[in-house]
Amino acid sequence: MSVDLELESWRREWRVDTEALPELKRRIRGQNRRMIAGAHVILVCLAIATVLGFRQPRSGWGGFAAGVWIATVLASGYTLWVRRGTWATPAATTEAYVELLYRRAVATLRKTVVLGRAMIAVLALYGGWLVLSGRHRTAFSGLVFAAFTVAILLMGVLERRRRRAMEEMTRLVDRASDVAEPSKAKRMDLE
Amino acid sequence: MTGAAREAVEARFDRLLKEHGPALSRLAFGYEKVAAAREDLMQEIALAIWQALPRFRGECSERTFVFRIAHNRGLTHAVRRPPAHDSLTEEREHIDPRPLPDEHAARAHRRDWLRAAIRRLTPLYREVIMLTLEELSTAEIAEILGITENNVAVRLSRARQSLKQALEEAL
Repeated sequence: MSVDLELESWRREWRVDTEALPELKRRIRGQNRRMIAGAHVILVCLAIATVLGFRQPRSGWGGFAAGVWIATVLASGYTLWVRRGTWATPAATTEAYVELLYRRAVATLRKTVVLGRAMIAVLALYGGWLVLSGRHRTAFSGLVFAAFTVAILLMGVLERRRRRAMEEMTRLVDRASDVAEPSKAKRMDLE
Repeated sequence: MTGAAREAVEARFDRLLKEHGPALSRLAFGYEKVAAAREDLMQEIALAIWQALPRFRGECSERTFVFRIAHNRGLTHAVRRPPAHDSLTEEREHIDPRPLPDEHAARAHRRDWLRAAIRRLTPLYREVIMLTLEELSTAEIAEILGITENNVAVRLSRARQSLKQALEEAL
């Protein structure tokens, strides 16, 4: 049996002085705690908006609470709809995972684009309503308007980042198809 | 999950990390040059193993299971954080240029070159070459990647060509 000298030499070099693993269990626990804390922060924000809305229904808080709830339900519903079929791979292989990654990247980009546009539309409507109702000079409306503007700017940054990830993903799928079956994901429309 | 089941999963997780930790650490080098980002990647790999472990019913070997998760996470990382550059000339600046005092340092130097050249490969060639360097069989690699053994051979042959070319260019 012949020995592949080149491969053996690479193997030896590859294994020289492997670094020790960092302390992963502690970091995983920390990450889990942060995820749970993030979910709690969203719940607490919703609860505060609701309480303020019920206590002062005639002030801007009533409309704000209703808006927060409607936006949360719509955004969650749309996210679930757009991510349908992207929760798990049909087969436990890297090839199937690449396909899934592509679908997820498409879904995430769609979600970011649609939610970003929806936020711009809501801001325009809100701004128009403020001017028409003469409430545009109150501190509360200014605060909500500013928060919305910042959120829209952040969505713009997120969209650019996701478009870059999408381009990288498309390149990956293209490369995958050079030796394997043409990917189904490759044929999916981006927008 | 009950307390006993959780402890069993934790014990299995510890054993897997002990057995495959060095290989996982090397794989992370193949996907990320920057130390802090590499640690994040290792954490993501470990978290994915931790989450998948309770559902693992021995459909494949533990080694295949661990390597598949590691490569899938590596691919996700490669897509999220594509390298800002892939020039070996720039890599050269990160590799210690001082004269090599002994054989050990020379080997470490060659290892750094090999890692840098592997990072330059496209992710799909990268994974097949790294799995081969970790001494997985063609059948195991085919099982991990979900392609035929023939496809593995084709991909490996192209990956070796690209790697050789990258190493020659670097020298």
